[in-house]
Amino acid sequence: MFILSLLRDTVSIKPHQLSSDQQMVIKKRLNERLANKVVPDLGLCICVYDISEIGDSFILPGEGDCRARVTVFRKMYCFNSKVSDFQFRMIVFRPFVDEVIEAKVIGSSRQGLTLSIEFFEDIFVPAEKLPEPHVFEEDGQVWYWEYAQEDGDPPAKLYMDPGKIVRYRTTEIIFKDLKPDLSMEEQKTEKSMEIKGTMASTGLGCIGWWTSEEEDEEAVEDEQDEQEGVAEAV
Amino acid sequence: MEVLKQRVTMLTNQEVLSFLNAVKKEEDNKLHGDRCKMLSTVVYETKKYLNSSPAATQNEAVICELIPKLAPYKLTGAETLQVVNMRPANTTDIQLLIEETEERFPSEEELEKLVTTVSECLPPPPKR
Repeated sequence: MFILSLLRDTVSIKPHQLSSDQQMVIKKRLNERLANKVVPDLGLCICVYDISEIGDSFILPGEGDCRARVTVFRKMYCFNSKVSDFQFRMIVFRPFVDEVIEAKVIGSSRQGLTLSIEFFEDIFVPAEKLPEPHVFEEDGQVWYWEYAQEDGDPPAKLYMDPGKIVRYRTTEIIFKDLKPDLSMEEQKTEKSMEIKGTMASTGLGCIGWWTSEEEDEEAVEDEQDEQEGVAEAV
Repeated sequence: MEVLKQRVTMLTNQEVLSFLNAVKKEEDNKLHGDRCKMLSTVVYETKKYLNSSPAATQNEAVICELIPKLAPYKLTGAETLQVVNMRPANTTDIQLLIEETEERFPSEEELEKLVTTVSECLPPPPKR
């Protein structure tokens, strides 16, 4: 789900920040610039992991310089920003193809299901990739999986309604370069990063579908343990 | 900005969670004006997701203990990462994470042994 990427950038440090811890200042500037943003063809940046190499720093001529040509270096230093070139590592959300991830259903329409993992909500499972045979219920706009039962009972309707936790397999990550001047409506439909997934395979879909009885027993035991623990504490 | 190397390494969810916990602590100690809003948001949301995943109950020690025990099963790096992140508790779950399970694990027992190894090393995930 998460990777470390090595990036390079330059950041200018304002004169008043020159006295503080440089690593801290640079990290803050980078996080302001990149945290929670999608870098095309890379992924969603979470936060700076570390700064591996601070390269050459240089001071650009600015205000201080134009007033007096013969400024002593010390004075220049006070007036101008310092620019640093460096490499850093970033924690990036970028699932690999075939990765299985648990997510929550947040949207349901005839086209398919929209899933969320809290910090990323552009995950889409198209209708044809839902478990077969799947049926869309106009009434309530929800999908269910028609699961044939062995003992001749009518097939069970296993619902995938919003709020359910499901497992999906990543099939594709699509990056799109968006223009900055999008209308409000375009902003809602256009996504800079979108994950396409599938739920059509054994083990995928709602997590409750596949838990065996043994595990339920285990869960019950755990609960009992906990209750005993509470009793002891009392 | 320039991307020098897209993927230096992959991180387990547990590593990300423990790193974000440290970032959160650092941010909390800062003055209001020094905090970064975007960072706080993404850290909060990512932590919320990870805290309900198996990563919440794991620590570095249990993962380090598990990795050598997985060696005889010859899983790929990505599969090992998935096993740690998802903590499969039955054979259906593990078949999902391992490619061509039937060919690589012809006997069901072998697969069950793998599930037991994982369940013994990694603590059960938090309840939802």
